[in-house]
Amino acid sequence: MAGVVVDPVETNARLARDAEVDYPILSDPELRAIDAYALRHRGGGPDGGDIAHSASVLLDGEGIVRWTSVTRNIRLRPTPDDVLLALDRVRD
Amino acid sequence: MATTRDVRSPRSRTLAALGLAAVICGVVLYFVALFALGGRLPGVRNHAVPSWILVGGGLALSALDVRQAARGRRLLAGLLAGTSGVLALAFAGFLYAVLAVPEASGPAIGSTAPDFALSDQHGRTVRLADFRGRPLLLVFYRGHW
Repeated sequence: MAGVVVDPVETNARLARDAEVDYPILSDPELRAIDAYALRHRGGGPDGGDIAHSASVLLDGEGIVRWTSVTRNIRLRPTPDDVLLALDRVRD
Repeated sequence: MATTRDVRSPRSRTLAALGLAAVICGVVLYFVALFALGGRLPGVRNHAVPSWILVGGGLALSALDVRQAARGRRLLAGLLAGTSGVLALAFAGFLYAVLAVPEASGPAIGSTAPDFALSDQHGRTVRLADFRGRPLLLVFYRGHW
């Protein structure tokens, strides 16, 4: 698992420390990967800047996109069970 | 007469107060689930069903109160019921309008995921190829923490 966010490395380091996160949180301030994955939310940031849409993308071992969840409402996120079910299908 | 006693009793005010309390509890429950309990109650966060049960019950009590208040012209009971209605509307607007975002396609299912080279929280460069050979869940965050 890895996270992708526009925030700088320093912010992600603080977040990872405070939340005891042990997976990589990747900093994408120029939204290169976010654009490559078609997930730019224009003007979505609190300062009116562009950010990523809240989304989950599951890839198989070959780097093929097997499952995605892109929310239309930021309170709606896939549950751990949703992700585990998708992961089981990828492993089958 | 029984009807006159009902109108003059504090019953409608009690109904209104209970209704407003239930609506407030429903709204507070949602935000506690959202911010304090994080991902431990995803059902409450995603579907808000327990909150809506409380809010709906509160509105039903308020509706009973409105019937009595209309006959008795009880200002306080009417204000309490009106507050419940406004709070429930604001809650619905927040959940279904304020938090809505534009549609985004995301990557197509079956496509090859685009490569990237980004810095992790330790400043190390991480590439998609580093995860090759095992499934990878990429979670895109809105950030600004």
